[in-house]
Amino acid sequence: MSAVLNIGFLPLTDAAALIAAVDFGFAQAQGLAINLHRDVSWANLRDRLMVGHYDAAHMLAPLALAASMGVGQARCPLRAPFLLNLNGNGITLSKRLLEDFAAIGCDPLADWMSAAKGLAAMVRARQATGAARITLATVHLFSAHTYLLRHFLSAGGLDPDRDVELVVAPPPFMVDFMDRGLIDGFCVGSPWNSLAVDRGRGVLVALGCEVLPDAPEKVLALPAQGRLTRDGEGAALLRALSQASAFAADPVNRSALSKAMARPDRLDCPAEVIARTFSGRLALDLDGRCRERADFIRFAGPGLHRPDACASWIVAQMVEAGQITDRAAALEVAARVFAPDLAAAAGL
Amino acid sequence: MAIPMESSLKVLLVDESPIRAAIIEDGLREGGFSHVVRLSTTDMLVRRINEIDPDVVLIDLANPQRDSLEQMFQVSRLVRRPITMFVDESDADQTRAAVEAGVSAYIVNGLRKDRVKNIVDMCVTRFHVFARLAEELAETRTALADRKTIDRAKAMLMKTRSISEEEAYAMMRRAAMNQKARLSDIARAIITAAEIC
Repeated sequence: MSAVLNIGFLPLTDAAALIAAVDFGFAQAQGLAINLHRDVSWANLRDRLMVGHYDAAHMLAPLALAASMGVGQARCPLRAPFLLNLNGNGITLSKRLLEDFAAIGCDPLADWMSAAKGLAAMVRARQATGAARITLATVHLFSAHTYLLRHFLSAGGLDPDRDVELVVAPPPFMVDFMDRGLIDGFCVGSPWNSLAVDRGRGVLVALGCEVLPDAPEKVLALPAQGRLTRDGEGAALLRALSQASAFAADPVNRSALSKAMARPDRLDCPAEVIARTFSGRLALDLDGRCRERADFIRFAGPGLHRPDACASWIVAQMVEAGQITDRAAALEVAARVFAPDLAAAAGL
Repeated sequence: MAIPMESSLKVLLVDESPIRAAIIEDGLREGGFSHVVRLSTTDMLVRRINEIDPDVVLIDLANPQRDSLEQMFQVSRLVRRPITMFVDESDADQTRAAVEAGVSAYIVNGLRKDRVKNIVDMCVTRFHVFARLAEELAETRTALADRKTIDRAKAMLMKTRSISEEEAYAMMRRAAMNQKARLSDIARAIITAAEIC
């Protein structure tokens, strides 16, 4: 067995394949020993990849490209050979807004478009009276969350850059910020929407898969010059992750996997909440309203893990959000970052 | 634009540990950086940073708000000045030292990097000093707890077997040597056994 691989992750449901690979023996079967490290920010994961603390990390797919291009940060050339999942995000609005929705005769839980249009009407009303702007948070500037929230706002008839304030906050702080009136809602990944709903602080008004179906979410990121891009270990890791992803996607394993992921050194949250996000049957509020989507979070499917499929989608989103202007240059970097060669070497 | 002198540079230090923040602030003042603002709250950094308007931001890697900070640098309508992340490819060694020490630095107002290099170097050194102190403290606490456990087990043996303190200690030492265990582990086993019986 070769030297231990250090892999960083953030406590999210879509770290499932990484955790399953270690806790259910898929890595070991490939001759790999892995130490998983829970971290607190995407910036930390990126920096620790660059200085060699981590050999690989859980990463927002758009951030892997932005970091490699040096947009909004020092340039950190990464490779993203494996797409871990599609979807998994949701938009939660503060309980405090429910009165405003009621005042305009809108049920924000009817469907996501009702919520988007109701929010737009509320924003227009506030603009007319000179009331404070609505502030919404996402988890990172370069994330599917940002693009999802922008689409949600646009669909309702708002200009995401002018009509609301968009900020970034860490998921564990979101509910607290909402309670203190600093933000009015947020777009986060699982299980953070469900945790906010369970604590009675917000209502889940949109599932990511409803607004932007099959959005590429997290990748496995490697430093471009790291050991995993050079030898057979990288392919072995991708094979282990592919098997672990199939395991995570199979409903039979959800209970055992949720328990493993609930541990204090993994997600440190109730196993039931993780199991619920796997099932795709999400509570929208505390009064028992639910929405169910089989594609709420997707870990496996034909060609799902191939990274090259998401390159043009991510570049298009970044251009649309005004984060970059040179589409051709971005596509060129994206072709390197999301190159399918490592996936192909692993037989994916 | 006139380049500010060290004494006029405003350094924002975001650190959850008040003791470490004090150690670093002390170092900054010694180095002639007298204008230091400390934040150790879970406030929304975005709002506070616009108010504080710092030239350099030093942030503890354990603070989950680094992503918020980087977004603010990228999009803020208020801070319209060039931002440099100190950590980049041209400073590989210093970057590694900073990340290993657990600190990250951002230069907010387009200062030349060499002018703030000493801030980061000092910070890295003091983060290491703090880590060593914390480690020593943890060791001392463990040693103290072990000492108490050993004393308690010894007292139990003296009472149940009617032996002297020296004999009780010798008995535990022998058991530790035979089982290749630590004395404190043997003491814990004795206490556990006594609690069960």
